[in-house]
Amino acid sequence: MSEKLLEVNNLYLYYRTYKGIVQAVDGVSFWVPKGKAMGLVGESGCGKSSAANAIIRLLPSNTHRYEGSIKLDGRELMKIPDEEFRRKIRWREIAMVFQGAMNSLNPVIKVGFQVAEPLIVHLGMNKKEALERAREMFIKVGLSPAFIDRYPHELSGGMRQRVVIAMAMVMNPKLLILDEPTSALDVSIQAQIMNLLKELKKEYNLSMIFITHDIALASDISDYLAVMYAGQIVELGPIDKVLVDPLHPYSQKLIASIPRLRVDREPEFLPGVPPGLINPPKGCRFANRCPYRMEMCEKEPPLFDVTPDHHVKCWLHGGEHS
Amino acid sequence: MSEERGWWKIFISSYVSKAGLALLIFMVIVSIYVLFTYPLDYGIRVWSNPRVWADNPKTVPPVWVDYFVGRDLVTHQIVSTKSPVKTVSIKGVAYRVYRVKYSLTEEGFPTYVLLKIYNLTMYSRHGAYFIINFTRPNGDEINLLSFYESPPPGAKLPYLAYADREKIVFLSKEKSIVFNLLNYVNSKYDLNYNTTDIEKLGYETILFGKPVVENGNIKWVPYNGEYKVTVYMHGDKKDSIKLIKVVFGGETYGLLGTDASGRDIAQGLLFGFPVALAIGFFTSVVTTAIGASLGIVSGYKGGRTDEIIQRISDIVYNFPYLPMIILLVFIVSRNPNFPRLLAILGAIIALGWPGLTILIRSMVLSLRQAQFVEAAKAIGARDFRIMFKHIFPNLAPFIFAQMIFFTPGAILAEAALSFLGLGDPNIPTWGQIIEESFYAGAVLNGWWWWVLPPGLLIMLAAITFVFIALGLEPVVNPRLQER
Repeated sequence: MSEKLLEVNNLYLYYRTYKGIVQAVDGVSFWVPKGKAMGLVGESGCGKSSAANAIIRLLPSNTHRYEGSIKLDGRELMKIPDEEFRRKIRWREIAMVFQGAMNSLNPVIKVGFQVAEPLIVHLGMNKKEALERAREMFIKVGLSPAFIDRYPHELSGGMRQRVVIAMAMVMNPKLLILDEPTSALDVSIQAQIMNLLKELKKEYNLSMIFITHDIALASDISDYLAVMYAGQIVELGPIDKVLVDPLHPYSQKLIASIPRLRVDREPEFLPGVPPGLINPPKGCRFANRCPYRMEMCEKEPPLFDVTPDHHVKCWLHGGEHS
Repeated sequence: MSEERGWWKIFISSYVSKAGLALLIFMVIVSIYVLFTYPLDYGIRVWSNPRVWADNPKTVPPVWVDYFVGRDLVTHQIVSTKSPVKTVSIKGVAYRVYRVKYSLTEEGFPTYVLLKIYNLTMYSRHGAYFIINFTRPNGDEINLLSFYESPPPGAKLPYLAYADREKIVFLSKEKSIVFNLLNYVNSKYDLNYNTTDIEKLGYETILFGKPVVENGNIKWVPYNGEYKVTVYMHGDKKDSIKLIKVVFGGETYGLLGTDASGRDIAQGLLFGFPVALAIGFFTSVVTTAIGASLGIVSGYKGGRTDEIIQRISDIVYNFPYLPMIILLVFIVSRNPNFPRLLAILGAIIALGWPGLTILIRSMVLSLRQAQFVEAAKAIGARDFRIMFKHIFPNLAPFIFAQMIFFTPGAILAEAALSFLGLGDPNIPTWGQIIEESFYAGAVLNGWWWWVLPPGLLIMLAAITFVFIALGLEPVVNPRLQER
């Protein structure tokens, strides 16, 4: 396994709401090797985006608990004060492409300026230089540089997505977090964007966290896959292993739910709903939907190492049972 | 760029906006004219200075009322001369003739005749002797009166008289001319008048009229033609007069008549244009800037900041507007050195911002949830940058429209305060002219030219901005756009 760029250990992010504490990210640990992509998959509301926000430290005002360890290139990010994090880490080291490109662009500001803005904010570049860089970035992401003078509504969805990617790449970050980058696009545009991301990954030796609910899409770009369930990572490993031979019952069910083109098989589905993240069940959170439920599942399983780089959070694959 | 042209197209396509824009351009042109032609301290130096207006008739209507009255009303005329038409000097004594001409063409009598002599310099202790004669169109020269002026005993020569206060001879009121008039009338027209008859008719009727027999009664009618007022002066050879002015009081004056102090109302109203625009512009810009900034900060920051700003605006918003402004202006104007107009504007601003703050805050509440705000945060932009570079442009058209909506309010508020007597006496505004007319009883006396024009102008200014605001509404609120 290659060198780790990002190492996340026991990351917690809880929100305070009127109903109670939401345990959105609950003891999550994973890593991203240099130049590799980590796919983060799971159902809606399982804490994928919260995990991403926790890494880039974009916390809502009702944050209740935010702790753990995030190491970038061996440097502990959690110890860096907010202001320094804003100036030195965010966007310089870690950039992010948000869910829904349409909404992450300000409708009344020209896109070129929006791409150039990080340069102005962080490097104190003047507007002209920054726009020149933005123009270069536009070419890199496959847009005509003439588009820098356009407003977001004058671009198509795919173009806007490219602008957002240009915005994320403009500072040459080491790590790019992609939060459902293609979920609002149709499949052909989706494919174009995926190819662009793959090219960028190769060209810049870029590390990525690719967040999606679409496992097929994740498999296209990711080298590793982390499956999240109810705020926790239940399985983590190289993509071919997790996809071909999933170990956690949830991963198995999740992968079995994907419709196949050439196999005549009814897609399976999971009965029941994921537990709420306010007061989640003690022990294994998947237990009440799990076909292999045991007595032991009353206790929370640790993340067992099946192989050095394949981990699973299930009693079936660790402890006395195995 | 196409966006900007787009909103302009929508704006200019409606008739209200065209009308509003035309009115605004008119107001701006008038204001520029005034700024270039009036002195900046016009209020103190001209408007509130009674000496400037001394020659004008009091509360007379504008000249164009002729068309409505159906009679050619006498226009106000001031004729002056600086040099004598004839000078004869014998042995150091000079005899000078000053003459002014006046032609009466209208069907009426001048309301009064006034002769003024400015700066008489005397080089001899004997002083100067004046004889004033009046020549009628038929060539008859009536001697009206004479007077003598000499340096006071012991005064240094040359002695300057009529400098601080010019010599005023009220030709049509001076009692001493009655006998001269009586003699002339009785001998010329073979009448048998006594002094009471002359008093009853009025001196100006005799001076500018002629008797006509109508159904056995004698009626005096205006005698049209050229009149002359001649001043004969005996004095030292070197004696001099700076100016002789004769005022023939008219029944009408200027474009909009005069007020009770003889001031030209049109002039005062013209000065009101830049004042009204400045009041409207200044207050609306400052109010909107304060209201919008507080609203953005309040909505974006949330929490305690939001709570404090919102509670303060709730409180200020619920103050009774006019009484509160009156109180504020009253307190501030206890310091006579503080410009009153600034106090008024300050009070309007102090009570005007909360509405916009509450509105903008609610809009920011939804905007701050937008993904692009989160994206801006992720980029590493500071709060200030997000608020004014990312959120503000989204609200800018709305804020701009609000600003224009607020402008007529400010103009009307200033007019209301001026009408209540809280105006700045040094700067004539339309509201103040109405106030003065009200206290002079213009409404009761039917001096409409003093009341209506300032009122109409206040309305015009308000309508201008209301029209523009109405025209902007479809731009700001796209649901109103007709496609």
